[in-house]
Amino acid sequence: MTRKINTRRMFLKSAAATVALPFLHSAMPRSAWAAEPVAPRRLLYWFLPNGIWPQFLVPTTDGAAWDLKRSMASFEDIQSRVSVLSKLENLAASQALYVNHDTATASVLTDVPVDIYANELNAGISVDQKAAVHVAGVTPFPSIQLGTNSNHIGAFGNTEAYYTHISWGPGGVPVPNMSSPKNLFDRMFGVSTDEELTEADIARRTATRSSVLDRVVGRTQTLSGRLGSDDRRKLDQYLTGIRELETRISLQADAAAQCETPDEPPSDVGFQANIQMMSDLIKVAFECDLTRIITFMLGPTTSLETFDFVGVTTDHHTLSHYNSGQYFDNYITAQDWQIEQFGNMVRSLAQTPDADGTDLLANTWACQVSEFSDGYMHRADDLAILLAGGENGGIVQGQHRRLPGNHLGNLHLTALQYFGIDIGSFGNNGRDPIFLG
Amino acid sequence: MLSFLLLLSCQNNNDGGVGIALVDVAPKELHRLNRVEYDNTVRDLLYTDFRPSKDFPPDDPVNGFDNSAAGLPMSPLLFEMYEKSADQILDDLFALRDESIEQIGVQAEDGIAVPSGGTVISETAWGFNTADSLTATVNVSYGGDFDVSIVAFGQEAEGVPPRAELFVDGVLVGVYDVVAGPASPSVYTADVELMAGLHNVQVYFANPSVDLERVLAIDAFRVFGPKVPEVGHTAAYDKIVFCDPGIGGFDCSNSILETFATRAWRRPLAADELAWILDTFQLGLQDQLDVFEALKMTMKVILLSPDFIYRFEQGGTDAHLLSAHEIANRLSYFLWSSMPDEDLMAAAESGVLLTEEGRNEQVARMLLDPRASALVSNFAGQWWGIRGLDEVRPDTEVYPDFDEHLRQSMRVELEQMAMDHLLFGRPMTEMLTTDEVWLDERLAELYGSAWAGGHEEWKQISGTAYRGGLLTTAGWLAVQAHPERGSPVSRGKWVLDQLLCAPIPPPPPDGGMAEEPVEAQGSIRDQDEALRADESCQACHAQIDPIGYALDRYDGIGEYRTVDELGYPVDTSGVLDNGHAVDSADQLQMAVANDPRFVPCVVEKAWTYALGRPPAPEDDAYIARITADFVAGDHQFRTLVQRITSSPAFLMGGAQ
Repeated sequence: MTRKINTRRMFLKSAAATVALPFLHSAMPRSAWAAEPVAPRRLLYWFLPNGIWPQFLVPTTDGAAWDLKRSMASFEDIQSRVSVLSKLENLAASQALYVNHDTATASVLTDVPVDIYANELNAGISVDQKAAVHVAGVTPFPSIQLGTNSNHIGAFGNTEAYYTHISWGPGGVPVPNMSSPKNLFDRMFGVSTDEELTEADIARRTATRSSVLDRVVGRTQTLSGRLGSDDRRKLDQYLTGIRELETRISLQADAAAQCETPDEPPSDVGFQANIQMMSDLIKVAFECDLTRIITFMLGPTTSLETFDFVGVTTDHHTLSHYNSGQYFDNYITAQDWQIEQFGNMVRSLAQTPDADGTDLLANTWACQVSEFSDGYMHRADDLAILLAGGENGGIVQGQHRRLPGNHLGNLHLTALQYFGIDIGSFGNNGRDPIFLG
Repeated sequence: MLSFLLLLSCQNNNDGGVGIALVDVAPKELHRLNRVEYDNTVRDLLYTDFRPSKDFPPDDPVNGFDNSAAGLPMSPLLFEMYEKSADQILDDLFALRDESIEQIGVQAEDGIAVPSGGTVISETAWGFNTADSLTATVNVSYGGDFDVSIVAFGQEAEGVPPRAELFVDGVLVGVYDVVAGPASPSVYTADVELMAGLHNVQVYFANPSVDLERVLAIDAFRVFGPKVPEVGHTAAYDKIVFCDPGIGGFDCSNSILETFATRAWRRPLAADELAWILDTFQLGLQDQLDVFEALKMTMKVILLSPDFIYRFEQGGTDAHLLSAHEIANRLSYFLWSSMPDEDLMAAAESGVLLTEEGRNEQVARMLLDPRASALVSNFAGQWWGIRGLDEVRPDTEVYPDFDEHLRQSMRVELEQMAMDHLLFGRPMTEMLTTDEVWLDERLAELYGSAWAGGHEEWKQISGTAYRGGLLTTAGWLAVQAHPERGSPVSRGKWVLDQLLCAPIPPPPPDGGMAEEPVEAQGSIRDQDEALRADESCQACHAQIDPIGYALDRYDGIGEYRTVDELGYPVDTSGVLDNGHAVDSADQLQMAVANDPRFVPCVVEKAWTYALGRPPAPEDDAYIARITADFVAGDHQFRTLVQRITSSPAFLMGGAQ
């Protein structure tokens, strides 16, 4: 006898919640309740490793009537929602002892140089985490960090974290990425179960779960009192983890119930499918207000991913170290493909209605960055950034903005102000927000 | 490094001793269990092979090892994973097995199986003529012995039938020459032990032909078992829930919890801690949980408490001797990457562990225990870069011989070698100078050595031409390579970094350049050297390159060669930064083994792994002494472990 495996899960929704209508008022966080429908502002960072060569994005002309270069060939229908910001510098990377993959990646969202020779991790807080602290407790996830399973060269085991993270919490703590769409799905929509449970069962389970977490909080606090300050900081991180989970349990049931659950992704997918599925889940996470802040690393820096599906069989990092010839062509083919995926992400946000009657993109600061421009020379200046969306916050899109002498610190400061944080500086260098009107 | 050398040569006068006199030691940070330690601890605590950490975020190594306390931060994501893991572990422990045997089938065309290429053929099968795979995820309800099968057929080419490789959770479990034709698909079966839960079953087409005429077609996967179903509770359950709380009442449940918590927290419980745990249980009962649910809930609290997740040591404002149980934990996580066993706990309880003899005896015992293989996978796995083999992706156009079998053989050779040196008493210096080589059929073929052994056999053989020592193993050479050729720079940099503890800074901003080698412009070495000719490059490359070029007779998968990719003779000559001229791998390995930086570097690596932190200035005097004892003890790893584990830094907590 052969039976098919049922990988679809039973979703536990009450009858009243089976109509999938995102952004019913009851689903909105309390802070968002208002007479007029409003939508929250959001941040999305889309990170490409090993450099984005600017000459394949940066238009010939400035301003509004710009030409789509090769890497943006697929952007025609969304050109009015995107801008190219050219000539920016990852200035903190240039301020580190060495400009290398790790130092440039560790500072790309923090604007703080790292010392790779120190025994302790010493990155600054990243723009997404600065924002996440600001909205903690409002959404089930203060922020979500995503990645892929791509291998990388790394540092012979020394301070690998700088290669694999762009999100850094307070105190230089790396915030890990999730690389499995299936695990992300489970996190977003609750614990997998094949059983049919009654609402009473669920309530009982939730109560027991909360009691367990309560006891663990108590135990952690008891232990914390016996420790020195350094170790106490570690247990504070532990407490933060427990508390975030408690918040989630209380917010998630409501949020997920009001929201159409997408199909469950398979547990093991390749690189190409991973990016597609993550993009779909990013859209849903924003749509259901599960979080307002997401970072997505399409690979760690020095990624060894191959892009066989577009005919690129040599690893990405090797390709990045050529500036002409077949390997360089292959690198640009991979660059085109990755940027096309960002375009698809932007398009999908543009096509999804938001709570205020506009679309998700109009309330989202969607930014594509890399640690380098020219990966061949490890250049952290002359970056070509793509910034999409956020029009409801006053950002004028569809521009080529040439910003020589400007840098990521100022861009991140601008993002935080867009997000609604009253802040005058960010990182090492962010002092002057960039005018995007 | 310089400071070690000075101390070695001028014989330090500080006679603090390596006993347990109180001296200043660097404090050790609170250490979270890393993924391997968590899995192994779960294994030994709950008698299960469940590996919960596969979904945890990776632990990023600091100072070369992923057990460095400084590199083990906490994140909300990780805490969530701990919670999920505790639920899974305890659900599994308390689950009642019934007698049912499952047969799970996945038809290739269902859309449940995920192909990496190929197409539907014969209406219901998935066919490949390229090196692709078909993958399905199956969920088994109860663990045990399973038959995992594929239903397959194929079409031969050049007289050779298609070869199917069957992997379960990434492990090769069967290789089949599929001779069946489309009219009569055959079943090919492997016997596999599976835990309850999700498993990844993958079949891979290993030998496509150049003309693409050879075809492998997969009709279905089948998973059948457990063949001998376990009925009722598992043996693990009977060990942990050793009395029936339904009959034995609170005496029984309390004693179950005390035993479990003592093992999980890896130390005797204080009276207030035990009271708190029993209280948790009572709270569960008050919340209307039945006795078993309350036990489960309390165990979950135990598994989520920082006492389980972290390796706690009593703090102090001054340097202080650790408790015997804290020392037991340091020993077991160093040698086994897991919790102490009963024997070690008993040695702590009796105080034997506070004596040097007692510790040495335990070290000797523990190194002979199968759990000491953790040193191979975690210490050598990271130091020698064996773990990097998983990430090696040789270009199969350049290296058609490379496949998963060869990767596996490369790994086994390195692991066998690591075992010889770490566990079986072969002097550490011989890791470079031995002429004995571990071989199986595949490696013998790669090494051009006649093979008289069986198909799956491994032999340790001396006198294999151009082989002997870590730097001539195919596995090490393949890790230190580009996909399409060997990398003299990676190889040289690795030797400086890992064997001489003389790391080279990363290339400057305008460095990291590479050129595609051009034909008819001289050898690759000549072309590369021309690129790095200027003085600023030479500052580092003068140290790196002679090492790398001495190994240039081995290509990107470690095969011996005499000409480079462009057809020029390989030139292996060079002068090392210590003044030695070398012209072969043998000479290089001898020169590194005799370099005064080598032995202290071995000590530094072992120390960093043992303590979870690199040497601090306070340690210098003891490290010099340990190094001297290590040399006097014929470079035995056991001696090194015994000296490290009786050093003040290992036995004491520092001031905070």
